[in-house]
Amino acid sequence: MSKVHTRPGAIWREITKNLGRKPATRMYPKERPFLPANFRGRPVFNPQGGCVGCMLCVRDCPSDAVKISKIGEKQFSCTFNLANCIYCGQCADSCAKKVISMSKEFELAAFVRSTLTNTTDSDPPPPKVAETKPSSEEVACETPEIPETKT
Amino acid sequence: MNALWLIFQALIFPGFLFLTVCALVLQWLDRKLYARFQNRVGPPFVQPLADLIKLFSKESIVPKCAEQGLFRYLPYFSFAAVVTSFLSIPIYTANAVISYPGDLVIVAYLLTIPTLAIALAGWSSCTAYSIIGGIRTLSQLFAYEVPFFLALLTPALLLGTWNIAEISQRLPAFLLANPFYFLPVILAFLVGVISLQGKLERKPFDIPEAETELVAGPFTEYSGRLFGIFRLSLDMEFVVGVSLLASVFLGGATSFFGIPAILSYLIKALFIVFVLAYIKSAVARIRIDQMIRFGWRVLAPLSLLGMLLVVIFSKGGLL
Amino acid sequence: MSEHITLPIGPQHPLLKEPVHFKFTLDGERIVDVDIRLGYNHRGIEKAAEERTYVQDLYMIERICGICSHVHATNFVQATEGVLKTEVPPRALYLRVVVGELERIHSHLLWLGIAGHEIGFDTLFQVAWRDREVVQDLLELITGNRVNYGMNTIGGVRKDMDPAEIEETLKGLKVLEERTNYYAQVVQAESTFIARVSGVGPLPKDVAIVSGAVGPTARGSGVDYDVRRDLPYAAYNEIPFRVITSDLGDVLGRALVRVQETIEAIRIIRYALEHLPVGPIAVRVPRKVPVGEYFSRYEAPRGEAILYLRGNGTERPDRVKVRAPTLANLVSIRHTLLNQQLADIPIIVAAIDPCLSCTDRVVLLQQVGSHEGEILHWAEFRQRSLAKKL
Repeated sequence: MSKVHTRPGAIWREITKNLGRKPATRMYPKERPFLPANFRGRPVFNPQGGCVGCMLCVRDCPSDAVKISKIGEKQFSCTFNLANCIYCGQCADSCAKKVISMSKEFELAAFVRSTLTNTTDSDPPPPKVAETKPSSEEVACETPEIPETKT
Repeated sequence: MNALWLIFQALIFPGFLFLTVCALVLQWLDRKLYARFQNRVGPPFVQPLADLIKLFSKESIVPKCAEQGLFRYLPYFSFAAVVTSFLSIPIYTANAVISYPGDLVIVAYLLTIPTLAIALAGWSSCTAYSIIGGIRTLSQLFAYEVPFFLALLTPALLLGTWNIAEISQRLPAFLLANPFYFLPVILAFLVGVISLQGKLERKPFDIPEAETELVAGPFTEYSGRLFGIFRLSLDMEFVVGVSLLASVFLGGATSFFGIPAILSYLIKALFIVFVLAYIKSAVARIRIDQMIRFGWRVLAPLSLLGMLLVVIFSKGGLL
Repeated sequence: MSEHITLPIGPQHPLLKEPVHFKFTLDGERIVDVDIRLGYNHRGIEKAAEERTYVQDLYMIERICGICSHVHATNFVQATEGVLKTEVPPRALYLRVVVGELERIHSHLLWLGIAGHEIGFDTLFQVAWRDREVVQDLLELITGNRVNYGMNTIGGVRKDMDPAEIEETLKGLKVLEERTNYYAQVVQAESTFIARVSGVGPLPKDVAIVSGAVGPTARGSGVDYDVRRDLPYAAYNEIPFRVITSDLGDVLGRALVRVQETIEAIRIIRYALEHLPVGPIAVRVPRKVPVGEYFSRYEAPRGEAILYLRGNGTERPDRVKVRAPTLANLVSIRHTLLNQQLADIPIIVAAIDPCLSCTDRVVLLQQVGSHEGEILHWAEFRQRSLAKKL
């Protein structure tokens, strides 16, 4: 590190330039932020995705934010508690059928706590057409009845 | 009639009300410039007024262990001193409202009162932060006050008058006639600007209220209306300091090229505000020992040099 | 009236945005004694980690620190992979390096801004943070979020980088390099900055070693130690880079080390992106971790972070122990503060780049003479807190 001549106001070039620049501040509500493709916003449940109720998302969720309950034959209801959710996206990663995905929705503040919980019911399964052999992956994740984790 | 006119001048224009507006506008301008130098957006135009209204509408909390009387009245002392001093500075005509021989010294002294009030306020609030802030305010006072006075006295010595209005009227013409004197006046102006920065406790001399060490220095315990008055008086001190420099060194409200007096004053005042904001954004805060060393080793000799040059030039028969 | 003033700083004070308490004894403006108290923000993460599965722990441990979240997460996955004896694909290791070094740039630019703010150089603060947005945007582009990237998973990384992202990153790095070089020049040329940091907070090399300082704090005192070089993890054994040290041993030395490290980090990322191996980014790992233990070390922006993990054959770890770099550096802070000026407290404290929430500990107070601590169970503990309230 060579000896540099010191003087007060060494940053003068930058501040003089700044005077002519547009402020770097992004005026947020008016100016929308750029969200990358990988952005992890509110998790969403695709009702047509064919949830099999494997509970892997429930099991892996670090903050107990997702609940899956059976509401009918091969029909499941998914509840996200956004007050708990830390938006890590592990549920989307764990989901065997890729039913859960992370949306780009991020303005989730609410005045009423109940609005932070939202439930989506999956569509009833389509009428059986032919017997299809389930793939090995599906077999692996159709492990029902995982003992409830102690919270 | 004359008395009424004087009261109008003292209270409305160019006195108290005008000064308040000026203080708020200049505070906004200073903050805005500071923000733009840092590539930020800065506050909206009404922000200083909004801050003031907020402070005035809030409760003033006085600590139990504080010196009750001092704590309450100091803001008003500081406020009154600053408002009074403004009347001697020419704003809208070449003459000031109250002009008398020697008003330069009086204004300089009146401008010291807010600093003393702050130091006392720090002392009287009885918390460690404010006491240390008060001590620092006083120590700093000794470092910048002498250079500031000496700088102001350079043009006075040059023209042989202690009247601000007279200095501001005569200095530009005098300098154009005797360009040699530009050197001491520019020197004195530089010292004046830097020590004004110290007087107003702005970077790099905002040592007494260094927020990362002392929270708010002497003002730590102030709140509500009392704090509002203090802040307003400091903003006014900013205006008076800037106007004083503009009057003494730049010809103040003397019209030039047919520009009206008030405009001439405003241009010069804004120029000084710009310079002050530039300095503020270009440097880091220095330590109190460094500040005192700087004041006595750099600023005071420089201002003395300016005076010496004046003496040599005028008495030594060089010109 | 005594000559000494006691000045409390913290747990709430503009000096630090985090809860730590310093009790200074001042003789005028000179510091004659200092007492440091921790424990205002203890979150019990180590204990909580024992009650969650490894996957859940990963995200919780990532949230130990907001700035070096990748540090703790990488440490955790490294430890887990170590117990599992997993071969992590090389591409994943390189991507971990890329994110880790971007995080270092982000942390060091943030520090530069903080340092500027502590000595009242707000312009440096604002412009350094403005340019830090560039690296934040890159991190968001690569991982999806600005903080708590969620990049790691046990057995690899979660997100791959496509050529467009690599190109964007290289473009951003060019801007960052130019800006960092400018700041390096500014901080060395600005006399008010130098006046405030040069010779301030001296930490001689031997004291730095004895007090166990790590990271830029130690390297600023001439201790040539960097986990990335000395005990390489991830892909650092394949990447050439310099370890920056400075013999100045003061705040200026620590500042210069950080600025130079930022430039070095940019080079590391460039190299890693140019030599990014092809292949998978993660391997599948079993959910149950066998019995075993692992000690993972990581050169965080602030210094060496350590994580110890013991598996017990179940889905949950038996013990997780985290030592954040600030805890190691706090020991040296007392030495650097003694006999310094009051005005230098902020910059000396900031010079170790403290992160208190990562480092917070619980202090167990014992009666003099008693040899046992009091052990409270949850219900009892709760009962006590309720009783206190009434």
